[in-house]
Amino acid sequence: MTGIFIKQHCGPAKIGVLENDTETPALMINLENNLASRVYKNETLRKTLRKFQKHLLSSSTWPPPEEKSELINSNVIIFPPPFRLRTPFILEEKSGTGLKEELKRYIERICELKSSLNKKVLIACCLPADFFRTSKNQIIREVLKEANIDIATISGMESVANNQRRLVEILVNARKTIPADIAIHASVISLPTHAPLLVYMGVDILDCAYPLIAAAYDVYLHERGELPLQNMTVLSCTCPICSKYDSVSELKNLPPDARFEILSAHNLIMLLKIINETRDAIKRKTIWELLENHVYSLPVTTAAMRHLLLSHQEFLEKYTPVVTSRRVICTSALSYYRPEVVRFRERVKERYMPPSNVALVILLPCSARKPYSKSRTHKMFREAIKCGAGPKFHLIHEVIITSPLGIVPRELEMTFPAAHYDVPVTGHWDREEMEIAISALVNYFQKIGGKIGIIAHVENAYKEIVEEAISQLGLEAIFTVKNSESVTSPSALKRLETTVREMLEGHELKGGDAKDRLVQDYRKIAEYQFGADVAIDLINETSVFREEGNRGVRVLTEGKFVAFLEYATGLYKLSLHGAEVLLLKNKYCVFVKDIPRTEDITADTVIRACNEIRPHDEVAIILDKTVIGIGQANMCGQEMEEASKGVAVKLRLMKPNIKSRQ
Amino acid sequence: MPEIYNKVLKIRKKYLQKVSVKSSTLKRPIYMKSYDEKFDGEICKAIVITLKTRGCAWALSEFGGCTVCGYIYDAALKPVPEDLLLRQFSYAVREIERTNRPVILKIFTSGSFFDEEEIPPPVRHKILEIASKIDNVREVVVETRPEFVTSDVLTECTKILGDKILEVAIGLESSNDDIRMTCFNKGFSWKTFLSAAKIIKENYCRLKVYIFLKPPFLTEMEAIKDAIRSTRDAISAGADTISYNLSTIHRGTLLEYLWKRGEYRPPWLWSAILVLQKVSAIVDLEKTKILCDPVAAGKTRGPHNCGSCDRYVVSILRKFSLSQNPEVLENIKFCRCINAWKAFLHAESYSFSQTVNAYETLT
Ligand code: SF4
Ligand SMILES: [Zn+2]
Ligand SMILES: [Zn+2]
Repeated sequence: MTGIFIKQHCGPAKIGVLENDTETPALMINLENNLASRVYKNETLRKTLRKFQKHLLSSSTWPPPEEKSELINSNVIIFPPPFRLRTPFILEEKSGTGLKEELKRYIERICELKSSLNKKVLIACCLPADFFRTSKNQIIREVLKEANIDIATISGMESVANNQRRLVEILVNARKTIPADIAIHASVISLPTHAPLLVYMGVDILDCAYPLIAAAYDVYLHERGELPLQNMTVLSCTCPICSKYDSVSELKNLPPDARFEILSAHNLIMLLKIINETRDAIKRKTIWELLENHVYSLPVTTAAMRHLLLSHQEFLEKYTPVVTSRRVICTSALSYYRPEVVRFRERVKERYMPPSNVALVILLPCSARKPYSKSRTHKMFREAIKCGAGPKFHLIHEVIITSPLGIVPRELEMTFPAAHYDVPVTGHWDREEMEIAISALVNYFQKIGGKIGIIAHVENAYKEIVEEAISQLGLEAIFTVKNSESVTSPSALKRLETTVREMLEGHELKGGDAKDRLVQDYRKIAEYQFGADVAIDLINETSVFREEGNRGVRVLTEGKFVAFLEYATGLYKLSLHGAEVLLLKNKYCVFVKDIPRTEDITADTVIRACNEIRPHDEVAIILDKTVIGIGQANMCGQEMEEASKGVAVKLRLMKPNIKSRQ
Repeated sequence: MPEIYNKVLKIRKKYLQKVSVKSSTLKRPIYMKSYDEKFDGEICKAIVITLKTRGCAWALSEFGGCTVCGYIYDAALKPVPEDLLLRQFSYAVREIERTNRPVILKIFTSGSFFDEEEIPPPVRHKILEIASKIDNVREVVVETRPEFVTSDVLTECTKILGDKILEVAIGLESSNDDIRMTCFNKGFSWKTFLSAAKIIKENYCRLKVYIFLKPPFLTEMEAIKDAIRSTRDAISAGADTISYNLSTIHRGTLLEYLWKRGEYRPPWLWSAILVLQKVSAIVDLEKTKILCDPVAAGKTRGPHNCGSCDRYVVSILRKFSLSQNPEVLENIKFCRCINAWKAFLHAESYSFSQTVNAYETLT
């Protein structure tokens, strides 16, 4: 077995375990190199690094230096690529056969050498960054899939450290190209300012090169940037190295070699600190919050993050869990494109259909308290609406306008992340947020199609949004809040009530409509979660909904318990009956080759997994065309298929007779 | 597989069009220079003359020539009449006549002295004859690609030169076939070199070998190791003189293309020092002459360090070349860019690619 064992994801960032038990994100140091080993002689640095032994790799290059016939301390060997692979021209040939052959030969040679070594070491192949800027991905992927290597080192990364677009293109492309069970080492780009972003893009290993280069030029690295020593006025760092010095001038006055060693040690400790923070953030599922803070230190990282969010959403979304227990905190403009948020908007646009048989749409502002209906303002709105509608309440569809989710149909207000996001409420909307809401609203009305009664009980920016959306579509709305009023003023609420009453006049009440609407509301959540084709079978006119305390709602369809709607997440957990629907529709299925023996279904037992599966999705476990269990995905579908190790699914329920057969 | 020569050829053709407009005179040599060099224990005056000929056959071939060489742009690109070649050579003769010190006469073309398309046999005879008649000429050095070295030509040359020594210089660049073929597009194999070396030695000529530091696509450390390895191999093939060619970026070459893309940096002068240190420890300096006289040192297009120590380090290289005394290489004054150079080597031990150093341009 080779490669990396995926423990957990937070977006594309992950905690992994290598064959020698090193936990990633990890730092690589080449102690065979004279300079690195000289720096490493510093006792304080060594002590600090030792604490992170679990996250340290010691590398060497092939062939070993002549004087040392044995690779003594290293646990990684990086194999130099053949010169042909280093030429930029290998990529120019259209068919790519030259590249394929050369790459194959290189990998084969590595594997041969590996099997000839009598020591267990990790093996790294070295691929130029340029490989990931062409359309030759498929070739590279094919060769690597067969390969018995642990790490892919991407070289030439330092040349794109200041080029946001290339940096992102290369790493995203590399992660898409390199099979999931090979760890990625981005070489010579280990800047503390870049590290969290690099890890977020799927890099597993960084090295010590950059901190030493910086030190050689008397540059001090810190979390938010780099500073030439000569420009420093205070020594604010409290790392174990710096705390030995009283002032900057003391550092400045050190002899050059000593200064280089001290600066190197500080720079390394700083890098290590950031890597540790990143690892911690992955474990605590707060990588986004870390990034939102961290990338703003430099224009290039900010731009890279933005580019990543705007151009590679599908890549990020794939690895982002559909639900977590943490709140979704949106503090900056970057979070308009936070994957959880974009996913919500996209699913409302693509999977969700407004309920049928609706006569009136009421647009409402969001509230700080979630779910909205628990807030004071929404309680007031609903009271007025109910008063006005009377028994025709089910003919109304309430839609909440909000940033950065765009719109939240009332029936999805509990669904993650609609009840789980926090934004700084200032009442001020920027243009980007408004555009997002307008486009969501336009899409909503397009799906309704044709004319419909619209009441907009909104003020300020919300009002502008509604006005722009309806004018784009040539629709009309009645605004029930006057300019001088607030949405909760009694006069406005009264106007809301009477307008609702007036607009529903003439709409006939049909028998069964209220029940039909209830079914639709529950189905909408399933539509959001699994798509329309699964939802329609999961919940139909026979469905019965039984509330169980404040935990959630039990759904029985055709007399069978199919799903449980959890209030905490606003998402369904399926029963084995529910899982049958997934199999029937061939959605969210994981096909395994064996009966799971433990709760953890590992990736190597997965034969096939549906492409739409995301981490934390409900999935049906299928063996020989029958459902044998239900569980929660721990990876995305593609990764389950590719990885040879790591937990693919956490099994929650297993068919009893299958268990006993074992 | 798009062979590297396709690219070389493309660059070559494009640049040839550019330079062909300014056709210059064929009456004067391309270059002439003199400096001191040690020869058999005495300090001589070395006179270098580069004749303008048709140009290197390899560079003119459909293989485009070497990746690092732009000499073809100085060449006439058409056969040069015999009288004009001799007229060019007369400049060197006049230069020799001006001194009564012992002279090493280096007659170069931007290609191969033994290529009859460049130097027709009658001209070759005449030139050597003239040289043989000048008393203070101790040694004649010519450059050639190995495929032009034949026993017939060498026997004839040595006969003309009489008691003067003929040294034949070959641009081997590296003893590693893969590096020479892939990285230099040199177009001849180690075997070809060996047979040329054998002929040279059999004819009691001296063999001089050029080794290139650093080849494109190699890391600084790989280049250092390759230079040392190549030195060993060349000496065991009979080389009497090793001359390290520290790269400079010629216009219109593949090397320039890489350099502009940030994929190539000429070597650090520290690397040259390291090579000389290592080599002088393993080579018998009484038997083999080791030379390193960098061109354009300290310039961005040439081998360079940080800018403040370049002159000093070059002076060490020159001092060593002249004295062949390894003690010159000891106790070298410290410059803080030594750490930068080492940090470079360190970085490349992870990436095996040219490290682009953002700080370097700042200092
Ligand atoms: S290096 Fe020598 S062989 Fe190569 S192109 Fe130049 S002159 Fe010709
Ligand atoms: Zn510090
Ligand atoms: Zn210097």
